[in-house]
Amino acid sequence: MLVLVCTLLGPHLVSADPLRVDLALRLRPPDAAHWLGCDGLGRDILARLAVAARRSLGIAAAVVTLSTITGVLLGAVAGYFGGWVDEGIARIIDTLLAFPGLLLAIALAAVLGPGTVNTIIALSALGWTGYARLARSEVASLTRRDFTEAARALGASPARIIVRHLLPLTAPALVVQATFGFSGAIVADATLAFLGLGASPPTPTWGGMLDEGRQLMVPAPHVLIAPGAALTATIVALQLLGDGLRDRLALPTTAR
Amino acid sequence: MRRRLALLPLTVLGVLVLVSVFLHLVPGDAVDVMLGDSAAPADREVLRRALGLDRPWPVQLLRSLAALSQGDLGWSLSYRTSVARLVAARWPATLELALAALAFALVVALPLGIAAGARPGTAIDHLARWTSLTGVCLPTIVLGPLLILVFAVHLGWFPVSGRDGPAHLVLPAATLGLGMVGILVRLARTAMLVALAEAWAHAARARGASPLRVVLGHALPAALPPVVTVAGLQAGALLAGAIVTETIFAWPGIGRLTVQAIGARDYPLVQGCVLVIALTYVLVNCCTDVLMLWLDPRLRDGE
Repeated sequence: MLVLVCTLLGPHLVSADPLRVDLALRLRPPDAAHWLGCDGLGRDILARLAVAARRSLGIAAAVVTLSTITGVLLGAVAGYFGGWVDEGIARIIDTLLAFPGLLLAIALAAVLGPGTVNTIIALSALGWTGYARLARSEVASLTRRDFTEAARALGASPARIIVRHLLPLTAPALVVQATFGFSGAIVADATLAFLGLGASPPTPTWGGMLDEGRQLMVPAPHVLIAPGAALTATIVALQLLGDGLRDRLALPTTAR
Repeated sequence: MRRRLALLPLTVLGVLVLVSVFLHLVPGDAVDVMLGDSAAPADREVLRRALGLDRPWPVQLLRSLAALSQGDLGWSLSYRTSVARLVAARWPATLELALAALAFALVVALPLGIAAGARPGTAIDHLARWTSLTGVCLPTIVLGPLLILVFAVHLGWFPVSGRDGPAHLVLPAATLGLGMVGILVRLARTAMLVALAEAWAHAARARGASPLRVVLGHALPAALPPVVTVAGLQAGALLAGAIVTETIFAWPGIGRLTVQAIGARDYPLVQGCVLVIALTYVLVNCCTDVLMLWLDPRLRDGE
C-alpha cells in the first residue's frame, strides 16, 4: 500500500517544462516527443500535469496546515474550558457545518475571485471545523481524567496542560484526519478549478485540465484521461494511506 | 429531541446572516454589472441609491433579512426576473436528480454491503470493497466526464446531457450517487459484521434459525440505524455534489443555476441559490436526526 505513496511523490520529482503554446501541435495524441500528448492549445500535457500537481499539493498542504492549527486551537480551548466558551465555539461550528461542504467554498471563491491565495482561504474557512470537532471531543474527554487533575493540582497553567499533555494524545487521530483532509482539499481545489473558480487561465490546474478535457473529449480523449488518472491516483494513494494509518495507530487514545 | 428542534431556527438564522454577509462583501460590483464600464459615476450613484446600496451595510443586512422573511429573494441581474421565481423553476429538476441519486445509492450499496458483511472474504466481499474504494476515490469531476465518454459517446447507450426523459437521468444520478455508494457499502458491511457477531445472533442460530433468517430478520434491523443516519447526512451532501454534476451534464437545476450566476457575477441570484441549498440541507439534516431518534429508541435518553 505504501508503494502507492510513491505515486503521490512522483509529481514532485518530474521537472517542469515551460508552458509553451505551439498551435501546430494542437490535440496531438501521445507520442515519443510528448508522452501524454498535447492539449487544445498545443501545450505538452505531461508538463502541465506536473506543474498542476505541484500547485495542488501545495494548496492542499497550506489548507490542511491552516485548518489544523485553527481547528485544533479552537477545539482544544472549547473542550478544555467547557461552559459558554464551549457553547459559543460549538454554535459557530454548527452554523458553518449547516452548509453542505463545497457550497460555502464555492460561494467564497466566487466572492473573493480567482487566485491561489483565495482558494486557500475559501477552503480553509470551512475546513477547520472538522479538526475543531475532533480536538474538542478528544480534549473534553481527556480533561476529565486523573492526570489532568494532577497537573492542575501541581499548578500547571491551562495552556501548558493543553499543549504539553493533552494535544500530544490527540495527535494520532488528528494525523489520520489530516490525511483525509489533504485528499479532500485536493478534490475541492480541483472542483473549484473545474468550475472556473481556481487560478487564472495560463496556470495549469488539474480541475481546469479536466474541464478542457471534458469539452474536447470527442476528438481528443487523452486530454481528459491524463488529468483524470493523475487526480484519481493521488486520491487513491491518500485514501489508502489514511486507512493504513488509521489501522496502524489503532485509535483509542482516550477511554470512552 | 426537543433541544435539536429548538436549535433549528437559530441555525437557520445563522445561515441567513452568513449568506447575506457574502453579498455585502462585494458592494460596488452589482451596479457595475448592471451598467457596465462606460456609465458615468453620477449615474452609478443614482442606481446605487435606488437599490439601497449606499446605506451602511448593517442596514442593508437588516433589509435583506426582512425581505427574506417575506419570501423575497431579490432580483436577478442577469435574468431580469425575481430570484425566487428562477429558483422555484429549477428546484424540481435538482430534487429529481438528488432523489434518483439517493435511490441509486441505496439500491446498489445496501444489498452489496449486507451481502459482503454476511459473507466476509468471498467474491462479494471483494466486490464490495472495490466498489467502495472506487466510490470514495473517484471525484465527480473525473467520474462524470468518464461516464459520458464511455456510455454516451462510445457505447451510445445514454444521451450526453440535458433533461428530456428517463434515459437522461441515468448517468447524472449514477455520477452523483456513486460517492455515496462508496461510503454506504463500507458502513453496511461493517454494521452487518458487528451485528452478526453479537451474542443474540449466535443465540438465534443456536435456536435453529436459518442463516438467511438470522441475517434478514435479526441482524439487519440492528445494522440499519447507523446506515440510515449516514445516508441521511449524505443526502444533504448530495445537494452540494449536484452543483458539479448538473454543470457536467447540463442538467437544468439549482446547482447549474448557481454556477451560471457566479459566472455572470449575478450576486443576488448567487445569494438566493446558496440560501435555498443551505436551508434545504439544514432541513434534511433535521429530518435525519428525527428519523434516527425514531428508529433507535436507545438514543432517546433525556438531554
